[in-house]
Amino acid sequence: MGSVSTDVTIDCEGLATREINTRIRAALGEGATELTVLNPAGRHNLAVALDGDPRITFEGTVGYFVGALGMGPNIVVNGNAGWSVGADIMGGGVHVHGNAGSSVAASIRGGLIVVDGDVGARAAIALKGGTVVIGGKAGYMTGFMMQTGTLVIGGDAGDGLGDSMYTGDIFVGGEIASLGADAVVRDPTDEELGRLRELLTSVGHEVERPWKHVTSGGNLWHFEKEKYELWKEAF
Amino acid sequence: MCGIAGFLQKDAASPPRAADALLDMLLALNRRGPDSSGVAIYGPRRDDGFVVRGWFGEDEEVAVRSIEAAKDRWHVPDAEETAGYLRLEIATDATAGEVADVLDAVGLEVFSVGRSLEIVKHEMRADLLGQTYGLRGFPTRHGIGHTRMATESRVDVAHSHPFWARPFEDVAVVHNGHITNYHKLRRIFEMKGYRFHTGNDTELIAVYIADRLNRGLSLGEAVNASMHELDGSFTYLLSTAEGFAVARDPFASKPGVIYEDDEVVAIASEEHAIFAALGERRAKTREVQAREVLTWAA
Repeated sequence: MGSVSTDVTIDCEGLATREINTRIRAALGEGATELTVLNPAGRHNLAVALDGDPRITFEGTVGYFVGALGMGPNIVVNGNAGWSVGADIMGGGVHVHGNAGSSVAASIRGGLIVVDGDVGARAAIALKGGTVVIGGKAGYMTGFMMQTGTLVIGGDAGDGLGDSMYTGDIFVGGEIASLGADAVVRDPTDEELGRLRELLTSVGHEVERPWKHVTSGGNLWHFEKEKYELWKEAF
Repeated sequence: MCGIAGFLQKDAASPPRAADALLDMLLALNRRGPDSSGVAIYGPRRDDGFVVRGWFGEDEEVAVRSIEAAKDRWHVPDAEETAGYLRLEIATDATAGEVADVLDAVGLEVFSVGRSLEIVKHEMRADLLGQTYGLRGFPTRHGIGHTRMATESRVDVAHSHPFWARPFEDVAVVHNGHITNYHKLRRIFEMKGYRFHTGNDTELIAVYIADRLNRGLSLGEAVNASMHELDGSFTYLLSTAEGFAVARDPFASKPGVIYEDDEVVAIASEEHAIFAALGERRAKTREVQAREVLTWAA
């Protein structure tokens, strides 16, 4: 038996997306722990639905759904990413060293998703756990209907931030264009700031910003006739 | 799905390369729209008349009748047939709408009439489109393009994008999305006297914008007005002889990515299409935001 290499490089040039994913799976199956993927060229659905805890690094820009449905791998993108980075992951994470499109970290239940730059609309929509860190600006309806988990936006947030969120925490370092239905701004406590500092230091993001803490006002948790106007607005 | 692309050179001194850039971008966007591809590009300006692009398909008779009809009325310095397309250069005092009506009447499907606009589209991949119609190297400094995955209306050449904003010379549009108040707005515009030539909702955007331009609104004002009156999901690109605009609907439901520097503007549904034209320039692209409208002059 020859020794199995734990460090594997895959070049996407000339390969169909299915072949790339098959090769990634095959390498992991043979015990690889460090994968480098070259020339991803904006392909969609790369490194999806993987478990274990390998580190997979994409050298270049990826398309939609990178690392989606993962249960443990740590994925690094040295480039930009399209829509739905790490959608629905249960654990592990994705770190994009660039900008990303809309629906970053949609519906994740766990894990850590980091985008160093700006993102499009609806980041952390329906968040069900885990942590999302955006270094730059976030677009329209960020944190829409998030249920729990933590979202950090280093830059400015677009219109409708935290609309109809249930619980969970949003921290914003820049300006908020407008809050969504039933989202409220509070001052972060020292304890929260401590946790934030720890998190941002661990992902290499700037720590010192005038942080605001956005949470649910709790007014939409149960239907109450007296709050009908609030409900009407939310709908 | 559907893929849209726009490319514009800001620097008037640089050699024109927008046609090649658009074709490269559309090829990269092929997976978003395998049904058809098309471009709206702007060649040398004819001040004394128009360039016409129309489709006769396999009916050679239509081409012959169209050329005859044109020669009966106008001076026709150039008439060229290529794979189902008729390209006419005509000198006339008539309006673009009158020219289109005359050619329609003899059976030509008129895709564009402009001082410089030429629309070429077909049910084929962008690289084949470029080859078939000799579009590589076409001297245009800006233009828009489209790859179509039809979700409404027929799949044929006429229903492919871009759409000319008939009867307004040089205005064209490509669109990714749906206009949900299409039928209502179409009826309103038909009552105003506009005629629609396909069942495609994008044609409505073209006519809507051109109507606003005609009422004296600037390109930016017209596109901004559309945010309040067009209902549905859209990212669309609208071009005139002078430049183009991009608009994204208030819910940001369709994609759009921009790259801009001192020399060029490139816009596409997906970033890798921009890289296909410009090479990978990391971290300089960004998404068009919800309700965002941007305009550029070539």
